[in-house]
Amino acid sequence: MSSENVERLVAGVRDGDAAAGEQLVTAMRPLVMGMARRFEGRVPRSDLEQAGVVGLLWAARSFDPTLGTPFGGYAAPFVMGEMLGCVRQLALPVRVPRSMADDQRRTTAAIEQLTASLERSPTVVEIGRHASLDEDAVLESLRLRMAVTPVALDELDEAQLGMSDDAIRRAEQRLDLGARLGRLDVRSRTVVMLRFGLELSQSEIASRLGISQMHVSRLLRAALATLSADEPAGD
Amino acid sequence: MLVSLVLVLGARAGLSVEQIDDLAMALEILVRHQPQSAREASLEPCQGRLDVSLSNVDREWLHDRGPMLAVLVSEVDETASGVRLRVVV
Repeated sequence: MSSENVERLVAGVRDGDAAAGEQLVTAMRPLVMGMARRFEGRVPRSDLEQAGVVGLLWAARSFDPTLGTPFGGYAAPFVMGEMLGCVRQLALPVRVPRSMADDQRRTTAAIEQLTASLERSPTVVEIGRHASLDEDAVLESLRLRMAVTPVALDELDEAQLGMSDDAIRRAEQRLDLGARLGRLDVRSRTVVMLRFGLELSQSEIASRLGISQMHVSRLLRAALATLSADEPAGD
Repeated sequence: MLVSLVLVLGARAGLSVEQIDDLAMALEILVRHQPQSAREASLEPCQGRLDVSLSNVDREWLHDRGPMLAVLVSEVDETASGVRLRVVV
């Protein structure tokens, strides 16, 4: 199907035309099936395809043809994002396909190198240029970073990190957690304190603890999920 | 799904990966609260800035969590129907 026809269907989806949605799903089926194959054997194909269709329709609703990006390229990170969510729910831990793992390694290395050389967190465009990856590949890698489970960090001694009681109090006030903060393990609590107590950026925390910003991000995300899970319903 | 949108539109607005990640985290916090509630989200990217508005956020809860969200994004504003998070490059 021509790109003009695809864009016509996408416009129909945005206007709430259910028939256009069905035709778009049929037209883009090769893209969804191709991406689903990357996770073959880990999750039933039908679940992956269903998740991919959800991502496809989300992409259609936000697609802006005037920006010149082909719809397929725009939709790919959405489709992959939904599939990763599906895999995360049904088949932990995520086993990353080799090509994606390679892109992710290059993205991660570029982030580390650019953060050091620029002395700030880089943009997606800067990462793509540095790693010789297109923007979609960088976005896919970043989405993957957010989907995978946290990795272990050696136990940290809070006293060695220069955290004062004030920092702990400030974090508790911001998070309004009270005793719940005490339910986190030392490593998670340390990262939460540094982020919300001392208001250090992820990069600053990474530098201070000698770990990557990606690792800090995962620890923070997991800690906040744990704290939210403890939150009383409707609190 | 919101995270995928934030990634794409944050990149287009020129936000850094850390700003995008922090914004995604703030949205995860918001969405996790009362996850069964029906909500509308709107994202408005422009060069150097991304605004994300979320409806149906409990005011009292937001008042408590506002300082925490403010660490993750540039601005947190209460709106008539919920909250608007703004990230500026």
